[in-house]
Amino acid sequence: MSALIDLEDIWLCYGGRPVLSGLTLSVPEGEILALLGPSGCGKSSVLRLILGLTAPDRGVIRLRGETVSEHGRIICLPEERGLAVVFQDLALWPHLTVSGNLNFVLGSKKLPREEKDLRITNALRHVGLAGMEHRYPTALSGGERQRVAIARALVLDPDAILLDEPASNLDVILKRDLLRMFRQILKEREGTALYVTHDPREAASLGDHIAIMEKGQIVQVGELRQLRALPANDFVRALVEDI
Amino acid sequence: MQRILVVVLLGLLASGLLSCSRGGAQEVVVYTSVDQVFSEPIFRAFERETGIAVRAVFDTEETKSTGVLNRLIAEARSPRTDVFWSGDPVRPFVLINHGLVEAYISPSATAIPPSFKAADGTWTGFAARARVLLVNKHRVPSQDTPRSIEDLANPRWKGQAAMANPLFGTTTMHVAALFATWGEARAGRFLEQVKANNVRIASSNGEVKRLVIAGESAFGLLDSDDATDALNAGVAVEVVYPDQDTLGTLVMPTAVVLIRGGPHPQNGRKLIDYLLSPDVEARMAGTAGHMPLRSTVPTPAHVRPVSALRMMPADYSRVTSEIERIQPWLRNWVGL
Amino acid sequence: MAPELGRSVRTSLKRLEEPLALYSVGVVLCLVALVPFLFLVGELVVGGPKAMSQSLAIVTSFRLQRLFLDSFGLALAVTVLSLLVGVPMGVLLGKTDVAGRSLALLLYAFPIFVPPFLLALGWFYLLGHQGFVGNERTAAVLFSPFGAVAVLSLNFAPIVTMFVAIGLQGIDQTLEEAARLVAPPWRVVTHILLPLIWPAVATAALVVFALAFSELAVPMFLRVPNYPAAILARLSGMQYDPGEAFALVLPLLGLSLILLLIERRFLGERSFEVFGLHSIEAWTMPLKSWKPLMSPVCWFLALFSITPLMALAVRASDGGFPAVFQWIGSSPGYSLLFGSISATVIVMIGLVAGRAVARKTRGSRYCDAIAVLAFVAPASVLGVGLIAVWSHPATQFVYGSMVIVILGLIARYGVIGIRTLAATIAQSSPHLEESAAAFGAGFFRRMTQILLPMHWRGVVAAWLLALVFCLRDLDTVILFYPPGMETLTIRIFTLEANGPEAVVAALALLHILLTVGALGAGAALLLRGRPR
Repeated sequence: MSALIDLEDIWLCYGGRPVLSGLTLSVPEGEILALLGPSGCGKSSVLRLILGLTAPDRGVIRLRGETVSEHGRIICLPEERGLAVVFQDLALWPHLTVSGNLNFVLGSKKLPREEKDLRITNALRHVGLAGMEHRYPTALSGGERQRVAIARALVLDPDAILLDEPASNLDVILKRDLLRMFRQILKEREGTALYVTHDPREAASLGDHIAIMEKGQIVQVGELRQLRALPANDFVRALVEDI
Repeated sequence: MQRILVVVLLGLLASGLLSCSRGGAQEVVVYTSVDQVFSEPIFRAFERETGIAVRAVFDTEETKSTGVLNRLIAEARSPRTDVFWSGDPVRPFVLINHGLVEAYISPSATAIPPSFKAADGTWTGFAARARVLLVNKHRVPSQDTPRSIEDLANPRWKGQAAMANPLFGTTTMHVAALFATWGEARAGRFLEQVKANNVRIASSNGEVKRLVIAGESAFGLLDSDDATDALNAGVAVEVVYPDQDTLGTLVMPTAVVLIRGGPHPQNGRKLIDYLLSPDVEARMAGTAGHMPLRSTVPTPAHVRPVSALRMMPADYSRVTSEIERIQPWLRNWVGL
Repeated sequence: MAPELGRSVRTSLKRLEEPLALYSVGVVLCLVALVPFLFLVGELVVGGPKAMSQSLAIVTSFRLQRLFLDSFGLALAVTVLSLLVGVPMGVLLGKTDVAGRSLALLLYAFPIFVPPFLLALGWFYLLGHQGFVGNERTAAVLFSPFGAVAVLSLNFAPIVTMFVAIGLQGIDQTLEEAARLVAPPWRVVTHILLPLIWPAVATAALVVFALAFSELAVPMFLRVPNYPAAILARLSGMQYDPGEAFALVLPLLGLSLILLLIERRFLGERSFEVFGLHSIEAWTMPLKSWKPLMSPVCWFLALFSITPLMALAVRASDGGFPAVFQWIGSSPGYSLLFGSISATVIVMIGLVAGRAVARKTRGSRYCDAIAVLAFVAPASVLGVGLIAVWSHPATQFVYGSMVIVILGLIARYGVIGIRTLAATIAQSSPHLEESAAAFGAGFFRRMTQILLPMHWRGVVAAWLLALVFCLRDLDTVILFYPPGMETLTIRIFTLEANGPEAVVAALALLHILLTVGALGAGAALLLRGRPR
């Protein structure tokens, strides 16, 4: 399967401190790849690089085979990459209603109003928030806000969705429900997703493949059973053995 | 409610716009260092009589801004004004020296004595003021009333006198006139004595007036219009025209010049003609205590006529040169 | 081919939105603030090596160094006193349950609306030798460096108070609540809240120091030697020398750069944090047994600070009000017109540059530095520079119109917009903008549909603050206002020279009412905003 997102030999430093050291990663098209690693290993930085919010010091990033960032340059701006994101803090715009948040996202596409409304309605129904269009994010529970963030990502029908630990603040039951819903939605649309997490169980439940990251590098990529059977090192073994 | 408040704010802006409506096409621009309270009514009268709108720039007290004179100089490349009405006769010379003045002999100036105007029409003086002493009668017994500017240096009055900063305004002219008349040595010595006598250096003549009225100072050196204002306020003060037996009192006519390259030269001439009219001189005498230079214009009772005054000899052109020459010395004296 | 080309052009233009916006703001700031100074450098250079060395000799002379240190000492004393009074007042009036604190805050803030000289005049009517409550001793105290420090501190301390009060409102509730669980209120304030808003306090200190150092009229009136007077002596005396005046400004600009560097070095990442205008219900700290003492103290200070205004009112009541309309002309209209337009442009610049500063975009620090330098430099020097730049036949459409006034006010107070909005925007997560960018929104769309609506209350507050400064301005506008278009402050000061004192006092009160009226409408708009 061809890769939708390619990161090749990526190096990144923040304030003199190395964050990524020669990272190479491919996200196959139509797959959910879970990027698993401990806090501080550079997972969120990978997300920001793919989105075009940060440029790699060295290395090349490709989307759909085209180079979008390389060697200190952002060639393709974030708004041009056709991606969707769910940040850890969700970044819901507090001054817009639920439908306003989704409508804003659709503003970049030249669609008739009826189609926009239809997409919004469908997206909210998909995440179980039908009828919540006119509520503000501050009036929603944590779980409901998560769903709005996901609906906002889906409504655009992006080439890929990037998620940065979106379930980290949820309780066990909510997290389980969210992950189940999300997997179902992604599978239905046969979409590509990169799911960043520090929780091995989350990674296992959602990802078709798991990429394990440690100290700014990808240590191993594979299905769960492969990682269990042939862990590349003790770190991988420790991560996957309790799942 | 938010909409109402936004409308209110926009209304404030709109009211600003509306209240700033300009007059008709006929206008004249004048910069003046004559106090606004005296000059503005005269401009309004000119507007009523001629239908020409007057756009004026007034001066603040000397230490509040760079002054209209220097604004004129700064704007030399593209003059914005037609007329400059100066509160003293030396500022016009600064403009003349900068080549900013166009000669104009006004028909209204015929009766003004030659010593108060330029023969070539570059400047014309009228409605003069004098440099006087304002004395607080509560603080100074009548027999001790100071009669000379040299009393500023008299140890009898140590710490009790006031004068405006000699770097600015008419005090500059007065000090320069002393340098021109007495010579550098004597004038310099006098000022050092004034300093040693702890004379209060106020920021303006207006402040000197305030200090004397308030009794903060026993007496002060200022302009006669400030003194007239104090008299009109009904406070117990006396106005002394100093050195009537010796040096004489410095007399400073206000002066008008036509600015070269101004936007409305014709209207500028009309305004000058109006300002130099006997009627305006009479009005300046009545409201501002200025001394008419024409013998045909009556002097109010509370104003000393020029003819009854021993005037300090002053070549205004030389005084102007002296002002420029002594600036560095004065700055040092003042501590700036 | 054509659609491809069109799409390519649109994409290229979209990419340029953000850099173009910041460069445009930078160009405007350079034009209004930096270029005038460069022209003055030219004046200095044109004078030749002899004039330059003469200027250098004067600047480095003992006399002027002494004067510089005196002014520095005065400004430092004013800043320290303003902080000592302003910070506690900010906490008391912004955070505690002092009785009637909103009204007390409004009264206490009144001096900000008034040019400092008018307050000094009010104190003179009160404490002068023959003042309402004055005698020789009070006059001696007033006309002294102590008097100058006191008068200026009373004028500027409310600026610190406003920054502190607003800063406290913007603190994340969870930080406060976490502290309240384990510490008494006074420790929460001193160990958590005040350190959190330290950057806002530092900005307030910078503003107060700049205002105090460049203040000319009050020290001269109170007979305290000051460095700006030396600069003015080169511009308002009979020997007009803008080149030498600029040479005297150089040490001041150097000092400003040092202050900026100190601010950046020690505040670093925190330069603009914790100074938002969140509308959430903030915790009011109960004073409990301290309330009977603190409430009267606050009210005493609030009433004390408006005492000189009351003295002006008494003076105005002596026939001033009936005559005021004879003298007022169109000046209130011009004040509002110039102030409103300038405040709007200042806020627009502040949004772009302030956002860049908050997000640490490359080039933003230069915009901030230029704005700070223009604020610190004496207005007379900036003004003379602006005249030198714009007073040409080819640029009369600017110089001969109100545009020159707008440019002058932008140059002088641009820093208010930039700093206020930088602090406001820094309060929100950058993810809000980044997600909008990831979802395809270009820069202008993010600004107008995300940033502006989210921070509208901060934007309105910045506009009001800029309006206050523009309305009270004298030193800038007086230098080049178009003939016949004087503002109310200009009219007050031109009439002050021999004008009827009662009328001058009445005009001053009218100016305050004008400012309060505009602010009141704006503040009501803010208070009506719904929490998000």
